[in-house]
Formats: sequence, structure tokens, C-alpha cells
Amino acid sequence: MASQSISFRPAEVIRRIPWSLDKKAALGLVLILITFSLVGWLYLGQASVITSSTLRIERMQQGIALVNQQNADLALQIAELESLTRIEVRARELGYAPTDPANLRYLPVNNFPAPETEDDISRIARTPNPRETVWQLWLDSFVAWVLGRPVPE
Amino acid sequence: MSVTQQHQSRIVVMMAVLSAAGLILAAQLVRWQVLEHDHFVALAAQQNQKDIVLRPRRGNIYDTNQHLLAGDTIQYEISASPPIISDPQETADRLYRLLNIPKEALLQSLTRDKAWVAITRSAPRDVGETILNWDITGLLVNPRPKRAYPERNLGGHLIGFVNDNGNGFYGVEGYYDSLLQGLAGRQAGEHGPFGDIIPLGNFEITPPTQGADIYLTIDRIVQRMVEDELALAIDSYGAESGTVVVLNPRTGAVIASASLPVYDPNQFAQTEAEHFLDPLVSTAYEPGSVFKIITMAAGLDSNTVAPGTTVYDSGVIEVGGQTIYNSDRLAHGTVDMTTVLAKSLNVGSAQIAIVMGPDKFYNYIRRFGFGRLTEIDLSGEGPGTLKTPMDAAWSDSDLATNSFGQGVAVTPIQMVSAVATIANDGLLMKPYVVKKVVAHDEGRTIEVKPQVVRRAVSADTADVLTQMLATALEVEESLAIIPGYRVAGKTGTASIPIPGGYHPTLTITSFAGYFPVDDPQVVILVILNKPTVSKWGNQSAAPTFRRIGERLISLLDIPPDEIRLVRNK
Repeated sequence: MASQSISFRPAEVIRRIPWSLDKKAALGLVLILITFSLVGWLYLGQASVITSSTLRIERMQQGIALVNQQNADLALQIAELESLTRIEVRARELGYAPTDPANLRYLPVNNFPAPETEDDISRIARTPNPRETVWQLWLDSFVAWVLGRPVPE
Repeated sequence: MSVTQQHQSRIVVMMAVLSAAGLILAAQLVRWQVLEHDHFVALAAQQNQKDIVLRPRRGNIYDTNQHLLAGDTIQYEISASPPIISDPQETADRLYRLLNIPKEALLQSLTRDKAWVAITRSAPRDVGETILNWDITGLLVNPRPKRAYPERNLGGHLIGFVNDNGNGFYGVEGYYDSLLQGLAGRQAGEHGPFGDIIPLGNFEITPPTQGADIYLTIDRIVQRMVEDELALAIDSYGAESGTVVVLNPRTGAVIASASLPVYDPNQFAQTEAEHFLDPLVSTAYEPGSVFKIITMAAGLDSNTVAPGTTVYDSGVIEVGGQTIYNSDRLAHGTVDMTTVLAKSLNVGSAQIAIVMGPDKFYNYIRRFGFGRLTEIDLSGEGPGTLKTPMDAAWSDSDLATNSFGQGVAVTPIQMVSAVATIANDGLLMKPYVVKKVVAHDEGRTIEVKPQVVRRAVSADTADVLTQMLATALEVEESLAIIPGYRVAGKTGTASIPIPGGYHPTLTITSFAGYFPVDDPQVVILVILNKPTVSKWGNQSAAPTFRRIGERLISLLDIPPDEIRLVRNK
């Protein structure tokens, strides 16, 4: 068996490199390239969507915080406009003057419909409706007549 | 050497160089990724790992009718990096008018040889936003929360204030600081160079929880009226200062509390620290004859005396080596208990305490809450001063002097709570100023319920004493009487303690009372410090009580006795 020596001299190695590719290998390489490109494109696309969504969410959160802040500021402005000092100044501008208890006189009003107390309400609740009373009387009288009992007055 | 051989040797050289470079690169990668991995990870973390604290919004404070009394707004902190500012002259020109800072001082700041200089910490919102829109490189404009009080100095002592660091002090702001502050959030993880989070990086966000909103028992309209009347009284009677508190005796809720002089919490930085303390809870004073209400309650409840019990008033009594006189220096002879109250007799009051004995007397005083905190929900409460036989400094004469409010120091909230106890059938209620807390974390609403501290005296005692107090005012034709309403109450004129004794002329005048007698709805305590027009409580504090009472009638819608009693029959 004839021995075959393999040379590792650089010139020999370079000479033995298959510089030309056959069609199958080239196609394979192109397919691999396309696959990687596709995966890369998909990854970058998703990453871009996530990034833009995150930024949008962050901006919306900032927007919410801003609206809340503006809302609080408006509430504060309303409170300032409704402050008693301001109301008093405005009332004076309109010609009103503060009341002085010493110069305040309460006038009695005859038959003034005073608000009902709880006692009044419960008394009203206990008082039977006259219409109901009449019907109840007739019904009681009828039942008594049927049963042969004395008729209630 | 042939051309082919030349090419081959060049290729060999190139391969060797590239291989060497590749090896170096590989070695360097191994060093970075394997050998010094931890070091570089730490370095990277220093640059992009940030833990930013997200400050919560402080809760609001409202009055009982949901009017805003304290809320947060935004102010801007403006600073500069002088080396980055391209045109300091023009920047100073634009800024000084808005910020109201002298142009020279501003220019000096902007040209300083420093990396960072502060310009102002409190630019108003519109100013800050204008500067922000200019977008000047090197000018830093950062928003900061600022506490605002739209009613200005209304109830200043009660509300307290929040400092520049967001911490609450005094009043409700101080007492409920942790509740109002809320919980800080955090934004931890990978951040970009401008502090924004890296969308695909690792980060964790815990949002902040807004501070709870607090609703007070205070009615701002009653509060304003009380402050106006107190100011008028201080002016009319030449007093140095004063305090008025209005309490609901059934619940212990403080409806209004005013102490003058008062400060504007918006301007706390320009206010002297001594004005921050709320006299309602922090300033103890000798109550004088108002304290006879407590002595009489103790005497009646312990069956030491009854309304018809008589004592002989010789105008002077000696106890423990100290001579005690009536305030009018007169002897009134044999008098009943109502007369002791009506004439405000120190001698009669001292006799009640002496007969009762120190153990019983001080037991009752403690039951009314003196010498200890009321535990009102306001910052800075003091317990007052009450000497008892257990204290080394106590002497027999203290029993007598304490009976008419001398030698004992109480806070206005202690005094008004004790008087409210009589109006509330003998039950001592815990005073409070917050009626509701709305927490934002779980949307919970916590209603504050009135709390009974203890029974100080029986309901019968309270009822009898109320009638005695009302009769005493009527007999003396007191200026505290409100037409159309039966009022129970007592005046007080206390000398002011000074080193070595009491001030010869200056007094603290007061009046504590409640109405309507048949169904007490408000207890009012009026204290005037060092009035100069009249040093007597019945001539200064009593009429102030009446004015406040008259205005409360319409504000709280309390019908006159004849209408109310007829309706209730």
C-alpha cells in the first residue's frame, strides 16, 4: 500500500482549499442566509414594536400623570376662587355687608310651616287614612254581620 | 522568486497577521467575558442600572363640607451648569425678569467656575414652564411638588404645614404625615443616558401610592366666623392673643378652633417658629374660675354637696398656711352651691375641695382628663400640669387653690373636653379633628367613630350641674346669655403666674359654656390673654361667647328654645 503524505505547508493548504462551490452548496448557503435574514428581520421587527409600544405606554403614563396633576391644579384653583376671603371681597364689591349679631333681629312668622320632627312623622304614620278607615269599617261590619257578632261602631 | 511564490508568501504573511489579530481578539474576549466578567458587569450596571424613587402625590385635606384646605401643586427648581451655557449674558437677560432676581446676581451665578449652581428652588408653575419651553442648553428645570393652602391662614394652627422636603409639621399635616405622604414607588433596572427606561432591558416598576385624603370635622365657615370674632375680641378688649374652640359635646368633634395670632402655612418659611405651636393643644394656662365647674361636679357626684347645701363664706379662708380670698374680697355669708358658682366664690369652692379630701378631689380631676393627654389627633399636644399629693411639690394649700383653677395648668382642649363632659351627661369623649380618611391604595374609606374615654360623673350629676350653671348665669345676668336660648357656663379670670407669685394686673380671661341647656349642641371655650380694657372674664370673654353663640345659631341651624321645646313635646 502506497503511503500518501499530507503536506501542511501553507502554500499547499491554500492550494487545496476548494475555492469554487458547486450549485447545491451555493443554494444551501443562500437559503441559510435568507433564513437568518428572515429570523433577524422578524426579531428586529418585534423588538421595534415592543420598543415603540413601551415608549407609547411610558408617554401615556406621563400623560395620565400630567392630566392628574392638571386636575389637581384645577381643583386647587377652584378652591382658591371659592376661598372665603375672595368670596368676602366679591360680596363687598357687590354691595353686601357682614351681618352683626347685635343688629340681627329674628321675626316670628305666624303659622310658619316648621320642619317635621321624627315624632310628627311617626304620628302621621300611625294616623289611619280616612278612606282606609271607612272601607275597614264596612268590611268589619260585613264580617260581623256574616258571623253574627255585634256590629262595631 | 517567481510572481506566484511572491503572492503565496504575502498571503502567508497576511494570514499570520490576521491569525495573530484573531488570537489577540479572542484572548481579549476571553478576558472580558470570562476572566473579568464580574468587573465589567458591575461597570455596566453602574452606568445603566438605576434605582429611581418615584415620589407619591401627597393627600389632600378637606373641611367637613369637602372644601379643599390643603393640596399639592407644582413649582420648579431651576439650576444651571455654567460651563455648558453658551451665552450667559443673554440667558441672564431672559431670566431675571421672570425670576425677579437682580440681573447682576444672576449673571454672576451663570459665569461661576462651577459644574452646577442653584438659581431658585421655588419658581411658580407658569414661570417654570416658560423657561422649560425656551430649551436653553445648560439650564436645568425640574418640577417639584409644593403644598398650597387656598384658604391661606384659615385654621393655620390646625392644619400645620409641609416643608420643602415634603415632610409635614404641626397640626394635621404633622400628626397624619405618614398617611398623607403615601408610599414611594421605585423604577429599578436598565436606564438610558437620559434616565428613561430601556424598553428591551430588565427593569421593574413599582408605582407610588398616593397619600390618603383627609376630611376634617372643621367647618370652614364656622372656623372663619370664629376667627373673625376672636380678632374682634382681641381688638376690642386690647388682648395680646386668644383662643376659641367650638366642640360638639356629643361626639367630641372639633367644629372650629382659632388661635390668634395665626400664620399662613403658605408662608411658613417667613414665620417665626414660636407661632407654629397650636395653643389649643400646646399652651397650658391657669384656667381660673372655669375650673369651679369641675370642682362642683366632683362635689355633687361624690355626694359631698348638693345644690341646696350651704356654706358660710367669710370672704377669707386659710389653708396650709396660705390665705385665700374671694376675687371681690367680700364676705357673702351663708350661700348655697348655685351662689358659689354665680358669685364665683373661691372660699366656697375651696371648702368643697377640703371637705371632699385630696384623694377624691384629684381622682375626679384625673377622671375629667386633666394632667394627661387627650390624645386628640393634632401634633404637639402637651399634658398640662397637675400636682397631686403624690408629688413632692404638692402642699395642702394646693387642694384649695386648685379648686378654683389656680396652681393647675391645663390646655384649652383639656378644658373644653372637660366642660363638654358635663354637657354630654357625664361622658368624657375623645376630642378629634379628622372624621374620614380616604386611602387610595385599596379605595378604602375609614370613618372615624366618636370614642367614649370614660364616665367622669353620673348623668344625674351632669344634669343637676347644668341647671345650676344656667341658673347662675341668669341670676348674675351674665353677658354670655344668648336671647332665646338657655345657656350653661362659667367665667374665669386667672392671674398670670410670674417668678415669685402672680402678675399684679394682667390676667387670662375665659368663658366656657354650652347651649341649648336641654340638648347641648355646642360647647364654646373663649380665652383672652392679657386683655387691657377689662381684666374680668365676665366683661370680655363672656360677651365674646355670646357673639359667637349668636352666629353659630344661624350657621348650625339651632332653633330657639321655645320653638324646639314645643316641637319636642
